[in-house]
Formats: sequence, C-alpha cells, structure tokens
Amino acid sequence: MRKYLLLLLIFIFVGQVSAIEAGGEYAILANLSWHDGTYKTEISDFLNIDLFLPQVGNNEIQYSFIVTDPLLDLLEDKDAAYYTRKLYLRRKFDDFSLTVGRQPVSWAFGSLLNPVDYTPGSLVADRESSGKYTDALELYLPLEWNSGLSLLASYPGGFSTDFNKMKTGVRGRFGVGAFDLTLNYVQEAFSIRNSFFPRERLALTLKGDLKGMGVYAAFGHYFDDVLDSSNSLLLGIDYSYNLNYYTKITLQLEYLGLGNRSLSPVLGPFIFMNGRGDRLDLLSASLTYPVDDFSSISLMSMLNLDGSRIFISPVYQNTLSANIDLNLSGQVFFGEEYNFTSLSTGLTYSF
Amino acid sequence: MKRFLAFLAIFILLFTSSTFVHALTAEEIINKRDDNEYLETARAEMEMIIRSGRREMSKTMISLTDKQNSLTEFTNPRDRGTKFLKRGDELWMFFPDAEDIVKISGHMLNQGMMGSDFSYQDLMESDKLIDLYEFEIISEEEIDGRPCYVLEGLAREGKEVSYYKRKIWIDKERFVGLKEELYARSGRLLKELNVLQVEEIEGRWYPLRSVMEDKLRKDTSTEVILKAIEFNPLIPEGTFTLENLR
Repeated sequence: MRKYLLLLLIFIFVGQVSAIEAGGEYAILANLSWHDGTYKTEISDFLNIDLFLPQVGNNEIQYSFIVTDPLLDLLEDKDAAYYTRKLYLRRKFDDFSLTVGRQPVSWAFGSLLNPVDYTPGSLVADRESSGKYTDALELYLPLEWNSGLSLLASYPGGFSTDFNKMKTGVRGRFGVGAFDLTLNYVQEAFSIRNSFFPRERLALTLKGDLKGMGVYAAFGHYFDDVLDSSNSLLLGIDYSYNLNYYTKITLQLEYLGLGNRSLSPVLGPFIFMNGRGDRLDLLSASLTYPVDDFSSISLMSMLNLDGSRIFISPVYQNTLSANIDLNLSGQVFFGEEYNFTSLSTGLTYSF
Repeated sequence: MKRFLAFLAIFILLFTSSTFVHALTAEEIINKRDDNEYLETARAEMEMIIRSGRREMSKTMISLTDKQNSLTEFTNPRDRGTKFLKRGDELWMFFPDAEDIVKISGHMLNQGMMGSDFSYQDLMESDKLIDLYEFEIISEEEIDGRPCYVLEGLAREGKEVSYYKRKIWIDKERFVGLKEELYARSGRLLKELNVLQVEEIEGRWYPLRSVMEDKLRKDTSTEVILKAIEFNPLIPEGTFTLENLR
C-alpha cells in the first residue's frame, strides 16, 4: 500500500510543480493459452510512469518506473511490484556527454533479432525485457553529425567494486556514404560454479539502402576461453510493396545463424525456437498491412531451418479514441517435443 | 495628323510598357511566395489532427528547421519523446523507451508520417519551389473571395521530387499559397492542400491552418495547426546531429 501512497504523492507533487510533467501508460492484458489439452488464462496489468523534469543548464535527469499488476494487486490487497527503468543524470560537456545511473542500453539497428546487442535478447521483435535497463556509466564522444563513440561500464548484477562483475563495452557509429556502420566490443563476466570468466565479443553492424530496398547485416565473433569461440551472423532486408499509391505492405525478412548454443540468449522471449543441434539457423519474417490510418494487421513468423520448430503470430492493432490502443494477437508454435497456442488481447491508455 | 499619330504611338508604348512592368512572371510570383513561406531557420509548435471518417487523432510537436535539416519532437502523450532528424536526404528516428536511434530505410519515406496524410518525403522537401519546379501562370481564380494567381509547376529535369506536377493558388495581394494540388507523372491527382487561415507574422504572411487530403483514400484528411512560430532563430551548431537526437 505504501507504493500507492508514494505514487499519489508523486502525482500531487507533479501537479504542484508545473515545470515537472508526468506521462506514461497503463495497460491491461489478458491471455488464453492451451498446451496439451490444458487451458490457462492469465490477466495482468502494468503502469508505466515517466517524469519529465526540466533540463537545468546542460544537465538532464530522466526518471521512469513501472508498477506491475497495480490494479490486480490492489484488488487482492497485495503490495505492487515496482521497478525503476530509468533514473539517470546526463550532463553535456563541450566535447562529450556523460550519463550516470539506471539507463536503457540498446544497440538496435532496425532488425527483428539482434545478435550483437549490448545485452543479448533485451529487445527482440519490439518485445523488450528489463535486461535493457542497467546501472551504468556512459561516456559519449560525438565525432561527426552521424558518428560517435560510446564507452560503457555497467553492473548487471548490481553495483560492485569487483571488476570481474562489471560489464564493459565500446560502440563506434560511423556514417559511411549512405550506410550506418557500427563496430562494438563487449567484455562481460559469466560464472561457472561461482567462478567468473571473462567473455569478449567483437561485432559490426551495417544498415543502408540498396536499389529501393533496406539492407542490413550484423556479424559477431565471441572469444571464449571456456567454451568454444563462435560466430553469429545476421542478414536482413526490408521492403515495401505498393498495393496502391499509399497503401503499402511492408516486409522484413532476415536470417540469423548462431555458431554455438551458448549464444541462444539472443533469442530473448523466443528462446523456444532453439533447435536440436549445437548450431542455430533461423529464418524470421514480418509482414505489415495498414488497414487504415488507425489500424494495421501484421504477421510475424520464425522458422528453425533444421525443421524442428515454427512460430506464427498474427497481430491486429487499432488506435481507438481517447488515447487507447487495442491489441489482439495470436501465437502458434509447432515444435518436435511440444506445441502451444495462445490468444492475447490488451488495452493501453497513454496519458 | 502626324502629331496625333506620334501621340498615339507614345500612348500605346507607354501603356504596353507599363503593363509589362506591372505583370509579374510566374518566377516572380513563386519567389514572392517563397519570401513568405520558405524558412531559412524556424522554430515551430504544431498540432496535427488526423481524420479518417468520424475518427480523429491528434499529435503535437515542436520542430526546429533550417534550409536542409530539421529536428522534430512529438509532445502528445502517445508519442511523447519520439524524435525525427531529417538531415539532407536521410531520416533518423529516436525511440524514447529504448533510447534507440535507427536510420529509416529509403523506401519508408513516402509512407504517411505517423499515420498522417503527409509523407516523410513531404516534410523532407526543403528546397525552394523555384529550384524544384518550372512554373507557368495558367489562370487567375478566386478562393474564398480572394483573387489568386494559379500556377502550374512541372518538376525540373534531374530534380528528385515527390510529385511530378503541382498546381498552386497564390493570393495576388499577400503572396501566400491558399490551395495546392499535387499530381503524379500520370496526371493523377494525389493530394490536395487547402489553407484555412493565414496570418501576418513578423511582416510575412504565413498559413496558420491547413488541411491535406489524400485523394486516393476516401474520407481522410490531416489538419495542421501552427500554434507558434519563430522565424530566423539562432540554431546552435550541433543541433541536427545524432548526439542531439538522444
């Protein structure tokens, strides 16, 4: 209950201090799934609050938090779970900027899957996980208008003075002609029987246009002292087909190859697509058709090329009046060992 | 008689020459219109109301622009914090949740921006109209009681434009566009823009409210309302960069 009092106080405070504004969204979701003849229903809700604090000089503070199941927990008289997504201070200096605190670190470049994200699997096909938000220190050095260097030190397991528990990364972004090229290096520790081993990755991504088509690629090489070294490769295209002058079907198609099963966390919530062998070859496609200005139908599918797994997800999205979005989706999975089907619906109110 | 003929000749000469002096060419009309509507640099606050049938959706934004570049940040609840950076022919987008910056593929640029009847390409054409099209005066008409020049412009050779042909109705007194029709190369009418309200701001006439209709779709329109505009503000160096998009 204390959480609700805290929320109430924040709203009162925000209302009184006009320079601070609050926004966010509340969503309620229902899911019906069945697996081996067993049905399961699940209802959940979340409240996401962003506080927009005024910039003071070159300093910017961001604060955003999420309360999971606020309504359901209130009805059951439980304490709601609270998670800080962002709480950071960014200061711009003449030649660089520094960001300190809980912050999202996402190295997305427009692909459905990203084998070379800072945190693998933290943002997959627009589904994000809390892994994207990390306690970190980031130094950003702009080079040109479309080029820059980002140096990161983060503490995924909470702040620790033990260097072994720290994760570090460097990402360079460069405009090469009309292409967006990024090079990145990540070192993190992983534990085996309470011992920490460093693991390193060197990667590059490329995105641009080729003859009216968007093209992108990513390649990562993982140096590993304990497990075998391995590579990941992603190749993708995006393309729009005009049904008439302004109705466009948008297609995204990509291939992901992972050289080692230990890299499968890059699949994030789609980890069930991991197949039989040590290697993973996955084909993903997404097709979007805009019904009108307010609604769209899309279809996403994934196929494990060893033939063992296929996943299909149709989605209908409609922007209703009064800032409410309706989302209906289905998920069908056919695997060698098991199948599942689920239907989900959600209403999101933005304020 | 000779004296009369000489007087007549002088009168005709004077009359015709004065006509030539006062009749504006298409180029002069477009230049006068550009003097009002072309932005060297500007800071604008706008609202965009997207209508489809009886449904509508409102988006608000703040935009900074110079001759070739613009930075737009959405401020309405659903899209708050979403930013677009247009830099020359490139478009970059910032997603506030993940704080990702992604380069938008070229083929996406002629889609409606955020569901509106304006495409990204519409917003990216920042050259002066006279540099993109060759205009001629085709007639004179009245719009809401205001006499207008009607000009037709065809895309100049080698210029990349979203619409091959455009017809513009320009107020003869205030030199501000009151209506515009945008055509495909095939001659098909694609979009129509009607200006509902103009106002003199800092000595230049500028459209405050206008409605764009996509003529290939039934019952859709996008109204743009200019809430505030500052002409020629000083835009700091480094504004139109990926660093500033974050």
